[in-house]
Formats: sequence, C-alpha cells, structure tokens
Amino acid sequence: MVLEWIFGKAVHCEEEAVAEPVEEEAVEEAEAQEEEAEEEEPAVEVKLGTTPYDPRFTTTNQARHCYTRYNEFHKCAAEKGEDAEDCKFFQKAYRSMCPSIWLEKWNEERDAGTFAGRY
Amino acid sequence: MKLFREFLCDAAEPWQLGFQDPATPVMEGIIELHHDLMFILAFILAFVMWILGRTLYHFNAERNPVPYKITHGTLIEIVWTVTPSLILILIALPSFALLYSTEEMVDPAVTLKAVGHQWYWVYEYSDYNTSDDEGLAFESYMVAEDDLEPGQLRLLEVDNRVVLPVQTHIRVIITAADVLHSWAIPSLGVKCDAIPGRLNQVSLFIKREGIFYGQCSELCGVNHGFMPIVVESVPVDDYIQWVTNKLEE
Repeated sequence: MVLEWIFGKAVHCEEEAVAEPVEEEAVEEAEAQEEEAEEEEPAVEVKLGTTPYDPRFTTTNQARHCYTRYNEFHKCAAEKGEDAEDCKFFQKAYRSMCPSIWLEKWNEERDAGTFAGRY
Repeated sequence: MKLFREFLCDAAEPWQLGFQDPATPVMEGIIELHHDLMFILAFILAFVMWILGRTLYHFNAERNPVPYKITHGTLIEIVWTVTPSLILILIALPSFALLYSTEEMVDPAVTLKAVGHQWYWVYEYSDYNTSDDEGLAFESYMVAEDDLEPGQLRLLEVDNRVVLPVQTHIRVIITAADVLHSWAIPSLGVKCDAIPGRLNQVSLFIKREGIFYGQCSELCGVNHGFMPIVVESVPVDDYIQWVTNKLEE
C-alpha cells in the first residue's frame, strides 16, 4: 500500500464520500480528469521501489550483485535491443546497486572496447 | 535551543555514559542484549568476589596453620567446567540471533548509496535515475564552526542531510572512493566500514521521525573527525516530495 502511494489519494477518498450517488458517472469522470491533472503536475513522478533482494547474493558485499546486474542488462540489450521492455528491470537494478563512479568507469571501458565482460 | 538539542536530536550528549535512544529494531536489540549481558556479568562478578572473599577469610595461615592436602575433586571440577559453558551458551544464543537479524535484508523499498571520500560523504539515490550519469546525488560536508547557526551541533552538523522515509525497509550500500571510512550512526545501530572496491550492504528500518547524528568511524586521514553523518527520517509522503524537488532542481 505504502509503496504505491501517490499524493492526493487520501483527498480523492474524501471527495468520493462527499459526492452524491445520483451523479456517479459525472463524478467519476471529473475524478479521472482530476487524477490526470494531478499526476501531470510534478514533472517527475516518484514511486518507491528498488532492486529486490537477490538470493544469489547473500553476503554483505554486494559488489558482485551490481556487476552481475550490469552485465545482465548488457546481455539483454545485446539480445533484445537497448530499449526492450524486458531489459528495463536489469537497468533499474544495476543503477540502484552500483555507485556512479563504477558505472562511469565501466561505460568508458565499454566504449573503448576494454571491458572485461562479454557484452 | 539546548532543550531542542537534548530532546529532539539523536546525538551524543556531554558526559554521556549510556546508549543513545534507539530508532531501529536492530539498535533496540543491541541495547537489550547489552542489558542482559550486564545482568549475567554482575551476577558472575558478585559470585566470584563472594567465593574469593570467603576463601581469603577462612583459609589463611592464621586460621588454618595446617594446609589441606586435597589435590583433586571430580565433582567440583565438573561443576566449574560445565557451569561456565552453559553460561557461554546462554550468552551465545541471543547474540547470534541478533547478529543474523542485523544481516537480514527484508524486501527493500529504497536504496541509498553512501560513498566515503576524503573527507566528506557522497550520497546517491539512484532508484529514480533515467540515465547512468545523471541522477539524485549530492555531497555532504560538515558545517564549519564559524558558520554554525544557533542550535546546530558543533562537528556534527552537515550542509546536506540524508533524507530517508520512516517505517520503510531501506538498503544502504556503503563504499569508499579513496581510503577506508566507516558509516556509523549510534541511534540506528549502524556501523559499517566503507571499503574501496566493496559494496557493503546494511538494512535499516527507522521506526520514528528524527534527526540522527553519526561520525566517520574508521581512521581515514587528517579530517577523519570532520566528516559527520546526519540522517533525517521523515514520513513517506515528505520523502517522496523531497525526492521530487531534488529531481526537479
């Protein structure tokens, strides 16, 4: 519940309670419009969520977790294309796990063709 | 302002002897274990002192000119071997339970990366990144003594605090860019070394809102004492608002 929290939901609930039952359809439409308007308001919609726990990496040191997710993404990208929907998960995962300085270094190595990974 | 510092902030106080108030289940566990151990410790101390006192009182040269010639006593030897082992097991069980619970990673909703530098911390919130190099990241420096506002804590306040949601499972990834550092906050029960090339993971579940102060806890150079850590825990809505504002900046 909390994870999917978007602001304004509580307000909607109250409005729903106040609205007269006769104009249900009209109210619903108005609400839908309101929701759209509210969602558009912030330029970026922030949703809580991050790389899930991965039973492959049970140790305190998560360096391999980061590295594996980075490689998994590039494998996926090589097979299905950079923007494939299936690869989004890996991309989000490695971005959440890896420090930006590591990514910078690896991306440079990939550009230079000296990256140790296969993809 | 003094009241504010002593009641609302979770920082060390002058001449403090005990723990800071806990804000995570892990810290509550640590304090509980400490109290349990202190009970056993006090009991053993009293018992040993009693035996020692009695021995000195009753069995000295004045009272017993002729010494006893007993060299073995099977029963007493079994008792004084088995009893300490049982006490050690009694201590080990809750201790291991606590140790493993601190390692537990419960389905996290937020990942925070803390990167130690000489001599400041860099924090990255990359869950909301849209590319590899752009994202929510900032440096956190100590506020110098001359720049302190009234009520701010000397050597503990930073310019950019870490903001985290309460009642949420958080993963903290701790690493360093140059030398060893250590990310530690007493109230949250966290102390984790930041090691270049390693990504150390700890989990946090902050139970209440507040401002939690900590310091670098691994000698990292001349300004080791001047790279504090400040975590501000806020309601989830406020956290989302904060992240949104930061991303829009």
